[in-house]
Amino acid sequence: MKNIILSARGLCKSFAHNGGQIHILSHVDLDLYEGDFTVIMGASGSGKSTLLYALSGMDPASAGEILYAGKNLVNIKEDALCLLRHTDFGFIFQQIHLVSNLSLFENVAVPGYLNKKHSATNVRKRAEELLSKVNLSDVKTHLPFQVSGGEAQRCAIARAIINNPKLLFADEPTGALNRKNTLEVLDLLTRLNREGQSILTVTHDIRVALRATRLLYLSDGKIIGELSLSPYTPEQEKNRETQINSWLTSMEW
Amino acid sequence: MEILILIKANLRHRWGAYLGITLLTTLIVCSAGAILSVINNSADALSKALISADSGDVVVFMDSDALADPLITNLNENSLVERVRYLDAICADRASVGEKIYANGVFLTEMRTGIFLFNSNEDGFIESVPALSEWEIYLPLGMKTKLQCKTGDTIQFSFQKKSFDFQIAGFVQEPTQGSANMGWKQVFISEQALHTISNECGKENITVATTIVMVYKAKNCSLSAAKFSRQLNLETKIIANAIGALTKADTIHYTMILWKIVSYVLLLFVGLLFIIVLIVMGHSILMEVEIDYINLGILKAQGFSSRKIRRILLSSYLLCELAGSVAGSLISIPLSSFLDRLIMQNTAILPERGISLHYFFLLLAVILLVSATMIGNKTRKIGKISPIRAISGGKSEIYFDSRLTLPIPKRGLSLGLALRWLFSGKRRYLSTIFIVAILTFFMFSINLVGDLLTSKTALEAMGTDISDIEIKPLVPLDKDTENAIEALITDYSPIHKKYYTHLSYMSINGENLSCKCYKYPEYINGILKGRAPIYDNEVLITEMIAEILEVQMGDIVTISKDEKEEKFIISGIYQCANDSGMNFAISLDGARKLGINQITYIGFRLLKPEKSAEIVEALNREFGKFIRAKIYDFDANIMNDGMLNSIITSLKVVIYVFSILFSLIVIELVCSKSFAMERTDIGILKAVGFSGAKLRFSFALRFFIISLPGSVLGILLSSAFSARLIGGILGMIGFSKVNVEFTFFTILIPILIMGVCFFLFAYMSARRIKRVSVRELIVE
Repeated sequence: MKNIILSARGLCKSFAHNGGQIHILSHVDLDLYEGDFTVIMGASGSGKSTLLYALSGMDPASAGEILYAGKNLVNIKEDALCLLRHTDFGFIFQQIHLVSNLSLFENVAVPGYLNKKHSATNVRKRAEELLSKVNLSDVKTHLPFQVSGGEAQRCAIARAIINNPKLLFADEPTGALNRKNTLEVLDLLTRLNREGQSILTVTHDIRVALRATRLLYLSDGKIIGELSLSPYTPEQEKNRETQINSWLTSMEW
Repeated sequence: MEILILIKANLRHRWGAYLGITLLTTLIVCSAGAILSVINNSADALSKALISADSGDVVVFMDSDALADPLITNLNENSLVERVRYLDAICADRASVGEKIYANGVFLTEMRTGIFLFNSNEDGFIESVPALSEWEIYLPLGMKTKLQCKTGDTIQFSFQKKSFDFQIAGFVQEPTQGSANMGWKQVFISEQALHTISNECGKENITVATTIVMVYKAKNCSLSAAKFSRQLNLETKIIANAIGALTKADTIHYTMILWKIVSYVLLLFVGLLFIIVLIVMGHSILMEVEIDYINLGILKAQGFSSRKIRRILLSSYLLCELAGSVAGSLISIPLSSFLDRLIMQNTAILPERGISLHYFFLLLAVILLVSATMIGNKTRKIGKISPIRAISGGKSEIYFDSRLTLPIPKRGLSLGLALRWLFSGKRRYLSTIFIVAILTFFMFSINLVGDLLTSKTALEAMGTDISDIEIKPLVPLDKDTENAIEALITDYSPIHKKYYTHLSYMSINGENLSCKCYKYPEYINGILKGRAPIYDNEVLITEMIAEILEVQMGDIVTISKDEKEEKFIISGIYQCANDSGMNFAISLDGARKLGINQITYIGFRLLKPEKSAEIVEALNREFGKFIRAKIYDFDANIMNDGMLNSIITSLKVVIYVFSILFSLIVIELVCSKSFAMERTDIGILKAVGFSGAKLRFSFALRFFIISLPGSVLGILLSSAFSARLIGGILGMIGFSKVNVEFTFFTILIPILIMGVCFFLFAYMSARRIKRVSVRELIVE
């Protein structure tokens, strides 16, 4: 029996538009489990990213509950949320979003410095290790604009896990990358998951879905389907693809 | 039409920057306009008052006995002279109201037409001046300022042993000497009182009768006031025989001098503020082009020429300046009215009302012309924008120009980030550093002026005789008494300097000037070139006199007093603020040749000034029959009864307040641009766990750091230019060479003010960070 790491109950998200309300998420109930590589899929505009941002506390939900470590993230204070962001949660953006005038090393190390539990020496050491792990040691002093999109996204992943987050959120992590860079990033995420990192990502890319251990399908702001998968191995990629495609077809993907 | 739409859109879109420029222009126009108007109003009013009072081109004060018939004939028949007026007066040694003493000569004369009586609010004149009863008196407004008296108070005038009390019946506008800046005063009494005092003093052989001689230049005489006065003296010897004389130009100069200095300082400051506005505008334009790169590319793709786009920017900024100028002009109306009231306490002249429109139009033209040139230059960059590159995102999103690889530490993370952002955008912050430097330079310079004019040591170095105790001999002192006095003082404190002097007006090459005769000329301060006049045929003159008389060191000049005349050689050049630098000095031995045998003032500078009170008491106890000793009144002698201090303090307040206001607006403008450029990075940092408060602190810290090199640059500028700047301004009152001394507080205060303001204002401006949501990074 897996442990629940984060759960959502009756989660709603609406936006004001032209004097009315647009409901993006409608009473979503969801549990995320420790060690899972959870991928949320859905058509464009289904609310995938909105769900991800709401669950991670990046964008407050309109109603409902998001429970994490006994706290409801829907009405949590800013300071507590900041603490969560540099202790328990890691986040990878679709548009990468590295701080443009910090080197890759600094982009990784600076969030680490925020964590009071770790000494500066430990943070630097871990940043070096992570950059080596994502094959960026050679370019660690480069600025983000001096490296490729794949390198930048790998750096963003290293940044996201500098504080050993309990849960890593990723919004279309390969959305801005070419094929080669996409595979590099996916291999990295798969490796991290194998090492025990819980991941929640949203995507419309089947290649990302292939790496999942759990797939959720979102339609019109509601989760309408779920598929559990065994951990990814390259050998079974074809079978896995067929299985996922078939499930997606059933979801009217 | 399309240009109008785009100007409107531009103003709407960047209203913060444009509002900032408008406010800065408002501040400049209202202050410059008000200062110019007030100076203009006062100068106009003074000219009119001199005409109304029928003041002579040269006013000569003479002992009535010295005004002999041949002199009168000579004067009346002189071809340079159109007419002469003789006014009977009596000369008092001093005046007092309660504890307040006015120690300069006061000429009591009959009230005459053309002298206007102020109403109780002092904002106009009473049409028919009530006749004075026997012991009533009208005083010029300058005496009210000096003696801090009011209508109904009793004022006492001393004529050696005799004194007479008068009740103040009101205050009048006496334009010739009424200003608080001028020593001798004319006051107005009844004909009976004039006769009574003359008779009473006559009974005790006290000479009080004087004549105020007003000499009017012939219409065909084209000589300047100074040359006319000199020529008149050469031809008639009237001034050489006088107690003193004053030309119309002198009156205008001395009446307006303090406010001229204040206005020059303020106008210079406003000029520098305008440079700041230009820097801010230039910075704003460059940032605008950078931030709006894509929009400008789109406009170009739509067929807008570079010239048209530049015209839009030009019009937008000029419109703001125009709006600021209109607002500034309106604000300057009450401001100039307030300043008018203030200036009147010093000039004693009721200023003309209203603002000087011609100055405003001139100011506006200068502002718009200079700004247009600068904007035209700064917007040249628009010509280089390629529409295709702009639209296709050819412009890099990287907004920084360089980075310094200072490590970002865990401890002091906010400081590390602040430094990184600072060094990443060096070019962007350079202009801010210059702005801080300019403001610091000026704050620093005004502190130096304050220090100079309030420090005894600095004033001594600039030629002022400053004492700790002063003695007025009641009888001529012999050498033994002088020695005994010095011996008594030495029992308490060693004597550092001693000034045994006599002050008199003498004619030097025909120019009637103040002359200080020193028994010990080796103690003369402020010698710039050459040496003290230690021999009886030597004279020390100021640079101003050297220029006027067109003489230099080594030249021979003729000095005359009454009927005596001697040749003197110029032994050196010095500076001394007596009569605003219009003075010279000789030794007492030299003065003896001109009939002056006795000193009238003794001042001692002590090594233990804290003993002054005890010494004064002992001196008065021991030598009370011969002398009157008192503690030197620095405030009365140097600070013009606190007026100079008040003016310096007011100037400091104005300059500090304006500097702070400017900092606020400039920081708001620079911060908003920085914020617009760094918005994404702020979002990212928030997303990785930085709190809004931490980022805000780091943002403010960055601007605090910027203020430091700016302040240092300001201090460097000050060390290079302040002495020259202050010398230029104080040169008007006789201090042409100043030695500025940088004290810890003089340096610290502007740095501290700039640093704290920059931190606080940037912190306030960074409130926007709170509003940045991580959601802005989300791409749906």
